[in-house]
Amino acid sequence: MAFGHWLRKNAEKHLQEAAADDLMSRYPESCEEPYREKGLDHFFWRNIFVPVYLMIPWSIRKKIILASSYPGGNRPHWKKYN
Amino acid sequence: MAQENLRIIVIGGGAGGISAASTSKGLLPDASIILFTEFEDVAYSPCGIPFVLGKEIPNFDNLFLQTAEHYAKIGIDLRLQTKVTEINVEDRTVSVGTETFEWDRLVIATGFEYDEPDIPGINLEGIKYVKNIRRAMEFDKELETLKKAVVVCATPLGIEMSGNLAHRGLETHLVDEGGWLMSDIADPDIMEPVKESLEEMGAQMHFGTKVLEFKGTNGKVTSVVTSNGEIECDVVVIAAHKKPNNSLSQEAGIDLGATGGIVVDDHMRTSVKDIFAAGDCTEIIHGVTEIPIQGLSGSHAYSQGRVAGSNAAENDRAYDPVFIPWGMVGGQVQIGGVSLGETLHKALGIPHVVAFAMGISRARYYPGVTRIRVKLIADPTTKKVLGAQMSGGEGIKERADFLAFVIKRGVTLDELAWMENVYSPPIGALMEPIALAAQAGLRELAK
Repeated sequence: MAFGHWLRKNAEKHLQEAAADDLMSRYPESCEEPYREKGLDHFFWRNIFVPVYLMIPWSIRKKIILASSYPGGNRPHWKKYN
Repeated sequence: MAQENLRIIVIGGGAGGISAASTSKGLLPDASIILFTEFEDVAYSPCGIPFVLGKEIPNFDNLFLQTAEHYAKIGIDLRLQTKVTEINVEDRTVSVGTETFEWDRLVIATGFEYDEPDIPGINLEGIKYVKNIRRAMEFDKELETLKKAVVVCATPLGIEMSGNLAHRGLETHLVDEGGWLMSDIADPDIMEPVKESLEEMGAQMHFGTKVLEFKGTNGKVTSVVTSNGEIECDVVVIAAHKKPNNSLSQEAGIDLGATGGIVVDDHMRTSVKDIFAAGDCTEIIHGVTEIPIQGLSGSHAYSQGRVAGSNAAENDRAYDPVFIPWGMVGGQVQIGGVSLGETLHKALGIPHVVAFAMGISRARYYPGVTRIRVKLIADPTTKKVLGAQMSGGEGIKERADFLAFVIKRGVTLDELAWMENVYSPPIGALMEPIALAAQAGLRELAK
């Protein structure tokens, strides 16, 4: 699996888990306790990657996401709506 | 002027491939168009399969949109049950076994495959996937004698299958590791009515539960071992997440992105000249975040196929970034939305405000009135709407379509809060629920 794909897959999984934990506290009556994998790798993603990721301002984070999505720099042309 | 006698090859006969082939042929009647598919059929709606299995739609014939004869009549050379084994970029050929076919333009529409879980017993008989209509027809016959089903993963397909199998009278268990239905993409408060509806239909939910093993007797599945106990069953439906089917493209050296999808530009062009791609095998830009995403709907694949086919036929047509209106029925409840909900905004760490309201679908006094939950997600600084999620008894799809256009145009909460709306007792309430949600959002921001 290419690095960008591996990074995205793991980042997505653990960021979604962290968000789910947050939403469980907001809507406890609509949620049940989710299953969470254990292990050193998951510890890293949950306790180091996720907090560091969320500390970075969104505008910079977005640039990092896009840079890691196109490591060769060949970003295809698409219309912008922002 | 288009090259004479252009040779266009399409790989894949789903929504993206068939629309690409049809569009190319329509624009260039003299072009040679060959479409290869490894499957027995083209031009059917796999999205309808759960509803035939659940006896909501009478039979599978209803799902076919066109016949193979139709494509032959319009001059598309359809090669069914013919698997392309290689794409050669330098020679500009595709291989089918030992035979090669030359192309001037190639459209890749190889779609998706299910992310098959790496679980002991996964190859037991009685473990099903829902995609191919022929396998679904066989499954439908088997269901006449089956009593207990386990559906793995509370994805949209998992929810549809659970509701339909319960409707058909099977004891149905839905197992998911998350804390609520569709926890990857939908919000728990929006999904709550769906959970209640599925339970009313007799489906049993098992959240926070991981599947550990499939057990069987004489090669056939008889139970599912989970982290919360063992569930007896006659059949298992795997409703796992989809991943792009791109081994052919990867081996050919075509660029794949971080999602695993083929990287395309807004003309569906890949990294290789004269090769286009469309549908679930691609990654497409999300209009709000500009981040590439993968795994959209059949309507997206169809539109992308039209653009790819158009440009393969030497036109100049662009596809816009997507804002992803979505909708479905879970149990007896309609759910839908646009772009990202609260969960995903939080996951990405995008600053946002939540604007929620409960409204009604018709005049309060009119028979059949149902409640509608509307949650808008907006930028706290600009007040532009970024996403939405909704659930209710009716009117969700229309609102999702409307909000997709709203978000694309950068409409703010202020503009939505005082929007005009239809008021007619049988079809619309005096106060539009979207407007109520926008007003709630403005009050939240004023705090």
